[in-house]
Amino acid sequence: MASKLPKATLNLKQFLLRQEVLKLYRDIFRTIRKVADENTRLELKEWARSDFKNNKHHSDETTIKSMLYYGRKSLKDLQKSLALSDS
Amino acid sequence: MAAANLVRSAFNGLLRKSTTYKTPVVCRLSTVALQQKYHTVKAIARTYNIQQLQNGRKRQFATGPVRKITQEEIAERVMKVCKAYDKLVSTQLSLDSHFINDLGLDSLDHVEIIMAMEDEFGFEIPDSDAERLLKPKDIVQYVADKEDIYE
Repeated sequence: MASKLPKATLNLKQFLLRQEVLKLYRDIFRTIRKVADENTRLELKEWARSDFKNNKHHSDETTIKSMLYYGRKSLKDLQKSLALSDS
Repeated sequence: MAAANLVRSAFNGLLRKSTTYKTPVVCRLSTVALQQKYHTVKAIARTYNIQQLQNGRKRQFATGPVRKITQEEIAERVMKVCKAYDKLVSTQLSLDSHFINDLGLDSLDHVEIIMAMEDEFGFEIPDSDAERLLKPKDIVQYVADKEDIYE
């Protein structure tokens, strides 16, 4: 039986992964907002953007998951250093 | 009520305790100083009353924006933010242009635009709502709903 869905539809796992990636992107930007220095903020934004864009093309689940892990780790580091610089 | 409190605090200790604020009671200060105080308080009360009249005698609980924002203003601000986004500078965009289908952006850019809107309007947009806002028109409608504008 032919599927009635358009070809570009993602299956559930892919959809969930995509949502994870977008959520991470959003969290990174929210954290970058808190940075006091304007130049650092712009640099961090450019870094995040280019990293995400360069890895946009992966379709393999494992690769995407390892990228997500790396991204989350970087976010945690950023948050820690922000907390340190604030106190 | 707030105006009465303002007046009361301004005249504190100078006047005999009087429940009505419209008529200043004779006090120990010189009449000149009293007149000046009275005039400032009257001006404050006047602007407060005008504010009340404009808002249809609505009770104000918190100091929010003095005047209500209109739908055109929201649309203007949304378009301004979109135009300021670096990937959209050269394209022609209208309220109906779809970010992904018409303007060629991808979902990461969409996230960035929604965050720029959050910065502009000062409130956070949750993920579940953000993924539905795919045209400037949708964003205008969403912000208007948040600010309770009925037109």
